[in-house]
This record gives sequence, C-alpha cells and structure tokens, in this order.
Amino acid sequence: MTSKPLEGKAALVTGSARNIGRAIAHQLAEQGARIVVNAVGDQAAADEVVKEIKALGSDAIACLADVTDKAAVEKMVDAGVKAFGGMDILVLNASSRGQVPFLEMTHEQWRRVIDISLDGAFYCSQACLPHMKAKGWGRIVTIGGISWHVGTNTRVHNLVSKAGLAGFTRGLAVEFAGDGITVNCVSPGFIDTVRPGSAGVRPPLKIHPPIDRMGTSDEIASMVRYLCLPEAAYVTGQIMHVNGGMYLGGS
Amino acid sequence: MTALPLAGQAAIVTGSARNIGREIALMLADDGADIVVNGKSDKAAAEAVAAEIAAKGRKAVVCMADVTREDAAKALAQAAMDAFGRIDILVCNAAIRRQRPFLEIPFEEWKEVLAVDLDAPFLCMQAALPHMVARGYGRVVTIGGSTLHILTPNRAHVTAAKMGLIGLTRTIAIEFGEKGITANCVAPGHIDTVRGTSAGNRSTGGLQRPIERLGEMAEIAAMVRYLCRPEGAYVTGQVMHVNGGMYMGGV
Repeated sequence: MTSKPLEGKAALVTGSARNIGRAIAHQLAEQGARIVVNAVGDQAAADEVVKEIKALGSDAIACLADVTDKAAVEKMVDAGVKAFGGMDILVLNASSRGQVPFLEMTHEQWRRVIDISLDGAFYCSQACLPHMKAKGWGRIVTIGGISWHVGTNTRVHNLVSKAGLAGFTRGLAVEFAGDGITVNCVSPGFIDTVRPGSAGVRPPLKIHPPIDRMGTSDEIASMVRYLCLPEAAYVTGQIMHVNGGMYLGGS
Repeated sequence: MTALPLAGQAAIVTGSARNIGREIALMLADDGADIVVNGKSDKAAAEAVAAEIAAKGRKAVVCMADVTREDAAKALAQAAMDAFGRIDILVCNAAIRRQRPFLEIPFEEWKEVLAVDLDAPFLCMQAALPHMVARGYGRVVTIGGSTLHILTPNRAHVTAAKMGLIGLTRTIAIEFGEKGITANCVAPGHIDTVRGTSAGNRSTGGLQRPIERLGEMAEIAAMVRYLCRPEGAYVTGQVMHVNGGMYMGGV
C-alpha cells in the first residue's frame, strides 16, 4: 500500500462545517491531509465534520473563527500548526452571499460580503504563508464564483468580492511561485448546496448549461483536491471553472 | 482496495508513442484504463509503450494510423471497438509544430499543420463519439498549446489551428453535454519534451513564467487524468492551463 499523496500535510479549510467546504475537507482528508475545520459559529456542525474526518482515518480539529477577525484567524492557524506541525494547504472557501438590489444595499451589507472574501483571504494567507514558505511547499485554493464572469442581478457585493479574490489569487501566484507554492481559484457554477436564507432564492436558470443539472459539492471538491496534490505543481494563477459548461472562459 | 477510477474503460490517445501522449497513456493505464496506442510512423516506439502498459496489468493495442485521413481515424476507433468493445476516452494529442515567419510559410505547410492539429481531432471525434453516445458516457480531451495565448510570432499556422481546436472542443462540450460526455482542452506551457527540430525554440513572448522551470510531461498527463475521471463530470468546455503561471487566463 503506497502512502496517501497528502500524508503529513495540514490543511485549513475555511467555512468547512457544511456544503462545499465540508466536501473539500472530506476529500483532502481522504488523501491523507489533517484538517482544521473552520466555521464562524456552528460548533456542533464543525464537530460533526471533525468526527467524519476521523472516521475516514485522518485527523482534524474544529476552530470557530470569524475570518474577518485577524486575532481569531491567527489563533486558529496557531492551533492548527500546534496540532499538526505545519500549515501546508489553505482553502479559502468561507463566503457570504446576499441578494439585494443595489440601491437598497446598505454599506454594512456591502462591507460584510467583501470583508469575508477579501479580508478573510488576506488574514488567512498572511497567517499561513510563512509556514508554507518554511517548508518550500504550499497550496492555496480560493473558491470563486460564476456570477462575476457572467453578470448576475442584485449581487454586486458578491461579484466585486469574487473578482477581487481572482486578482488576489493571481497576485499571490506570482509572488510565491519561487517558494513551491501554487495559488489557484476554483469557480463553481450552480451547485446543489443547502443555502442559508441570507443567500436568497437561487436565481432561475436563464442559461442552461450543456450539462443541464446542478453540480454537486463533491464535484467542486475534487477539483480542489486535484490542485492540492503534488502532481499539480505546475498549475498556478488559474481559474478552474466547474460549471457544467455554463461559462466557457475568458477571465 | 477500492476499484481504480477508470477500471474497465477504454481510451484512445493519439500520438502516444512518445512524450506527452505516452505519459497520458501510461497514467490513464495506472488509473485502470485499457489503451489504444497510436503513432504515425514509429511502430517500435508505439509497441514499447504498449509493453509498458501491459506491464502494469492493463491491455494495450497498437494502431498505427495517420489520423489526418478519414479512413485511418475510423480504423483507429474500430481498433478500440475490436479490442475492448467500447470507447470511453479520446485524447487528441497528436500535433505538429512548425516555426516560420508568416510571409515565408508555404501554403503546403499551413495545410499540413491544420491537417494534424485540427482535421485529425475532427475526424477522431467523429469516429469515436458515436460509441460514447451509445453508452451515455465519454471524455474528450484535446491538447492545446501556449502559443495562441502568449502571442508567439512565426507560428501563424499552429496558433490558428490551436485556436480552432478550442472552438471545436467547446462545440463538442455543448452538443454532447446532455449525453454524459465532457470535452475539455488542456493547454501546456513549456514542457520538457524531446522536440523535433522543426518545432523551433520556446518563447515566452516576453511574459514572465512565475514557476521558472519547464513543466514535466507527467504534470500535463495528471490534468488529463483528472478530467477523464468520473469526478470530472461537471467540468466541460474549459481550457485548463498547465503552464507554471506563464499565462493566467482569458481564452
């Protein structure tokens, strides 16, 4: 039996108590990685994912932290490093979606969505990258979204945050390429997740993708997993669309 | 021991007697697929690849064929049907590269490049897709290139052909999405292959390459393998760049 490709690696997956983040945590754990499961407030859900990961034969800890809180992020990364001896993989999955007409959008709503995506990426990456650099190996995967590529109604804060995250991805890709660290973005199409009320009603499908169904959380997670494997070392700065062909490219 | 992801499947890889095509054939075989190894003229090399695959415990047949000819492309698909009774995967890898200033390109060379890089995928897809449609499952992967993305001079024919190949790939994605078939293009950057002298020099077109080394053939093959696995079912119509960050997006 060969060892698993991510044996000995530690991964922080933000927003991993449910949905896509949870599927990513599972799939990285299946490859041997030990996981920091993060949620902003739902301890029970995070604990459940930790249990699931242990059942898969890996190890995990749960850390509640608001990724917009620098001190909380640093504490979380420290806890992960202490538990697992490093921080090799960071998946920036936590995000918040709202659906508000622009003229009714409050500045607080605007800020909250952007803060989670961008400040969260900033704090988490600043906390994790020194540990990756120290080992000369690392993987950062950001979770984008299709809305800013195709234009979506009443989500301007979300579009701006995801567009910014793509720029963040490419900037870090160039800056840390010499350190053995790749940085990529996985951009999901319409995925069959359990949506909180704040995300609003899923807009009706006006464009039917060639593969005319919603994607699964596991289909996003498998792309993230691929990017985290050693074999993906030459892929960096890319946006990988997993969307059933709903959007075919351009930046 | 869980079953291999491609166990029982059959794959055709054009131009698989050496370099990237060979690596793809070997990796798909590692994942459980049986392989039709194709070359145009070097039968000994193709047979050596088939022997490597057989040594892995998979089945391999050699089909020497000039895939720019319709009868040869049909024979290639028929070889897979005769040997394995099915075609699950088609990787259109065979290509030629030429380098010549535009005003010096003989029309014959233009036609030669378009025949291999564009006609051949068309013919192989037409020959193979009916067998995928019949089973309601298929994976088509084309191998693009970096030339068209980084605006390299002196490759008008290669650039036009590879751009066309993306259009062809996307159309297959759209027309066959409902049949359980995905079609994607993997675009390699500068890969450490054994190059024919006609291929000319590598150029970054003045762009940076954040990961400074050349890519490995296995790094291209790993992306192809990911797309060919069942878990890649929701990825279609995409161009996947494996290029060390030399080019980060757009088409």
